[in-house]
Amino acid sequence: MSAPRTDFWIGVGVVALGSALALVAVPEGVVSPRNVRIAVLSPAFWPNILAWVVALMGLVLALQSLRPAKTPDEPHEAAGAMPRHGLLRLLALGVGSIAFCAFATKLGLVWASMIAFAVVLLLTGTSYRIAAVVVAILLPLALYAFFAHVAAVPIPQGIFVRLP
Amino acid sequence: MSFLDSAAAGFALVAHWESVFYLAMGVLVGVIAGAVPGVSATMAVALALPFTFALEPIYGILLLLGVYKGGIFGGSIPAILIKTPGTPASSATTLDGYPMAERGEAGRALGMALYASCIADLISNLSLILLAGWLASFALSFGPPEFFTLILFSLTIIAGVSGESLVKGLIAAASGLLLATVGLDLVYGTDRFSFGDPNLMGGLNFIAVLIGLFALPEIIDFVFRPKEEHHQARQLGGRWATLADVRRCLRSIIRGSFIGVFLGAIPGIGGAPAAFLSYAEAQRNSPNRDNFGKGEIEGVAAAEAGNNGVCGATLIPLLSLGIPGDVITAIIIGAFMIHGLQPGPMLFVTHAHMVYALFMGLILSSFLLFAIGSVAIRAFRFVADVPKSLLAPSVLVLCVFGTYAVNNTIFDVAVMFAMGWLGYLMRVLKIPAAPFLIGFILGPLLENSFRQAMLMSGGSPEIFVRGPITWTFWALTALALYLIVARLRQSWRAET
Repeated sequence: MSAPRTDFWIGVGVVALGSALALVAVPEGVVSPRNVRIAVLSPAFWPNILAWVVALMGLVLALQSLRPAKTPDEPHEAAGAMPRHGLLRLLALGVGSIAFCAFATKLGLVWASMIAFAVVLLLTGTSYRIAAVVVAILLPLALYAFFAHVAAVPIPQGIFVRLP
Repeated sequence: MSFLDSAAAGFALVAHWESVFYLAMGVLVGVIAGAVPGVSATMAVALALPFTFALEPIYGILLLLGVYKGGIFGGSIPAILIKTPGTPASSATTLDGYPMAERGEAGRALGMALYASCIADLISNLSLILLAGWLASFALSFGPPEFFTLILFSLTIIAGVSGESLVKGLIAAASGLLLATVGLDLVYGTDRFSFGDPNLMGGLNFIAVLIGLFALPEIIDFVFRPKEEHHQARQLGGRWATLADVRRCLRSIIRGSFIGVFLGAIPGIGGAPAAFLSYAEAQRNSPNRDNFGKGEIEGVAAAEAGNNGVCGATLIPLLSLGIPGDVITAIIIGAFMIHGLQPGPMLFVTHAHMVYALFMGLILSSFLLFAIGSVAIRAFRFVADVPKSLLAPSVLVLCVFGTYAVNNTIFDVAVMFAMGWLGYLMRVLKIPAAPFLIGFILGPLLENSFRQAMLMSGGSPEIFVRGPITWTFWALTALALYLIVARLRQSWRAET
């Protein structure tokens, strides 16, 4: 897709987002007391203004992209070279990040991080396998040692293996 | 407390081996991070931030300032050796640095980059010391209306960090300002977009947003496009920069330092324009102007003096007015807040000893940069060889631990992931992330000063034009907007 055309759709999306925020999210999500005497002091005033600014800027972007360009449209770099299985890897990373948040406390942050390290390695591949295993094990342990024992941060230990 | 008392208290605070140690650590980490292609100085400061929680505020902030300064210099190493600027500010250094490296004078170019960086850094720090206190004493008389107009003016820095499209920058900034409204309303205590969730009542955590926006998109992009890059680093060669070289380039170094100081003190301009302007001025004034771009050592000196001259100066608006000069200082504002300090004029009253300790630490950092930079130049080969397939998951693990450590909650890690995906989407759509972060940081300050001023005036907007200070900031904002619109019209005319 050409850059101006992409910008047009980004602009349309931003207008939709800004309008949805102003018309739905602000009235639903911001609680305004009834006794607000000055309208500009209302908790909803600032979010409302900003939501409309977002929508307005989206409109400007969309209109700007409709202007005839002097130079021929250049394709977006990203669209030009779609790597093989790229979207699949992104999907796997997305699922992995949700799973990480869901299970990190039960597994323990250290073990969950080792698994996350391994998952990223599996997705991207590496020719430094031994170094990868060493770093995958030592880095989370070193970070645990620093944060738990130096910074006194209670790192979740999980229910399976507990660290000193 | 008098000036001398504050200075003495500051010296007592900084005259510990820990101060020197953490500052040196920061410079070392910054130089290494800046030298690794793909790790920006911004990312390095963001990742280093969680490690400062356990430290005394002075040590933590010195460490981050060290990372900042080291990162800016470190960017020049790959710029010269592999023609890949480690930071955008080092782009001008490649113009002459790489041709020098190609003809076997990489060591000489790197040596000059180091000399110029340290001299410019020192000049920038001295300017900070001279100007910040003066500006802060002036800003002490500011009330909410003055702060509102000041922050409004400082939002015009978004134009400087918007990249190719100002409109996209404004979309990002407005979205950042909007995201900053999440949490309990400060005046009425009612919910704003928190939907009764206690995790959201305090607003989104700054560090989770920051790390998500600046570190994760790199990793996501690498997962999408896993490609190891092997750079061919040039040999250092047998020649090193001599004092005679420095003497010959001194005029350009000093001119570039002051260009950096001047542009750095203006919020939003940053290191890259300073480096290019310094380079252009050096070329215009040099008797060797025809050699610029072909490996002229004075070009390296001017570019590096320009971008390092910015470092200390960006702290002038940060320390004296509490507004960030660029994205990195926006992160450092967050560091101040995490350590219970609010940058701005009151910092000079309530924590004067801390400010003087920082000043002394910054002076020391110029010398540490020289010492550490000299070693780093020789060790670059090992840094450049760090495989990205190991770097990406390592950074991910650092992000997770660093974000978790802020509030000890996985919710922040989830926010970080969400921001990472948002940052990646913004990158794909070519929407800049820096205005988003600046909007997110300045949002609460802007809204609070606006509402405080309106409370003071009983809702009358006249309070925003109550005196010469507010008028000055309105005029500056109008001028900045005029320049932005002029730039937009110019680019539109060029395109159509």
